[in-house]
Amino acid sequence: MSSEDADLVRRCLAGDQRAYRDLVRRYQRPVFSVLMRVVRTAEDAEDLTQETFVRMFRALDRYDTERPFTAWLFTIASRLAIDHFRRRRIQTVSLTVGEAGSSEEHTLDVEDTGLKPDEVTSNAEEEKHNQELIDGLPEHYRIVVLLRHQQDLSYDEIAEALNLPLGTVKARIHRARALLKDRIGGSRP
Amino acid sequence: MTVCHASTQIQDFLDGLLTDAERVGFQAHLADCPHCAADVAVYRRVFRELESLPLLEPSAGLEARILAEVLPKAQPGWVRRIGFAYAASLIVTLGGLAGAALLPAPRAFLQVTLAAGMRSAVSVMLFVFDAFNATALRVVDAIGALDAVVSRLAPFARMVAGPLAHPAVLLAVWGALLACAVVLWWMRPRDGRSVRGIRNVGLLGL
Repeated sequence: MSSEDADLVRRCLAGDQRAYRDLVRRYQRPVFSVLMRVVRTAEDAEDLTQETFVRMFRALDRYDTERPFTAWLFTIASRLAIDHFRRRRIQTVSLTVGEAGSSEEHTLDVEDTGLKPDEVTSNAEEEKHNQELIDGLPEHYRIVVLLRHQQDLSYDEIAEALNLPLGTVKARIHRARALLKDRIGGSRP
Repeated sequence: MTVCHASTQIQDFLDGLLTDAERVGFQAHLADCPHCAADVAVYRRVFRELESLPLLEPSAGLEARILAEVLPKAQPGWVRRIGFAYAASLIVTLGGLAGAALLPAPRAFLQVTLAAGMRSAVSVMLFVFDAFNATALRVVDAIGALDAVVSRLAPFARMVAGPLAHPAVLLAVWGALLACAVVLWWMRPRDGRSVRGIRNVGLLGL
């Protein structure tokens, strides 16, 4: 945990209200960004961001300061996102089939008939490109890729956050990157 | 499509997860394998695209919504104002009492005032008690039939009335009655209170 995070956590536990505000300001954009790109509607992403912080503050006295704060915070956010998907399972647009005895997965892409994001960006074209890049991934790939590349969490931290085997996390990240590679560079003949 | 056997190492290479020996070997392979070299270039672009994703901005009210949930609720303004007024009154009162106790002139005034106040209080209580007694006696006289009972109880009444005539005893009796009344009022039936407990404590109060 960075010394700045440690100081903020200590001050929050001491009841310093300014520290609460500073912690929210420091992390609300990263948390919202990941959730927005995963759940794809601003309203849901904001609700989940709010719930992430509420749960984080309520559990702050039980937080293990040896762990990176970011990993802990995104553990809460990721689990909320997964619960969100479970509740909305009927709207899911991708299918995943795991081979018996293997953590590798194959994805069947199906047309996404859901709503596209159109609510959040100030640079519409660039964000549209970014969002399309991420949208092309199944939800369980999106979250691992974002945690790895946008929040710089290690494979181990992602596995712990999502309560998944390390091999599954690695397979998902590799598969997601391969899909993006095909999309960006085209398949090599 | 031909897949190079070493292509499975590309992502581990870019993640920095290969051992030194594996990394050196893979770098040597890249120099000889245009397929893997091309894939590495595209994967690097994928990494750059993912790492350059901009942070998105939530609505302006999100911070306030979060803080409203997690911060302790602030007291209403009127509660704080009453608190300040109470504190100011307490300070003024304590200051006045301290001044009255320490300064000669105010101390004398305080003593005179307290004595006068006590006399007035006792006088009022005696008046109320006399009025109560007189009313009761008139009622009994009016009934007439109770004269015999009254005459029999007269010695007991005199025995009780004797000590009660003393202001200190009278004050103590009225104080005790008042305390009992307050206790009984406080123990009145309310939601969530034990009826059995109320009855017992009420009897104790009486």
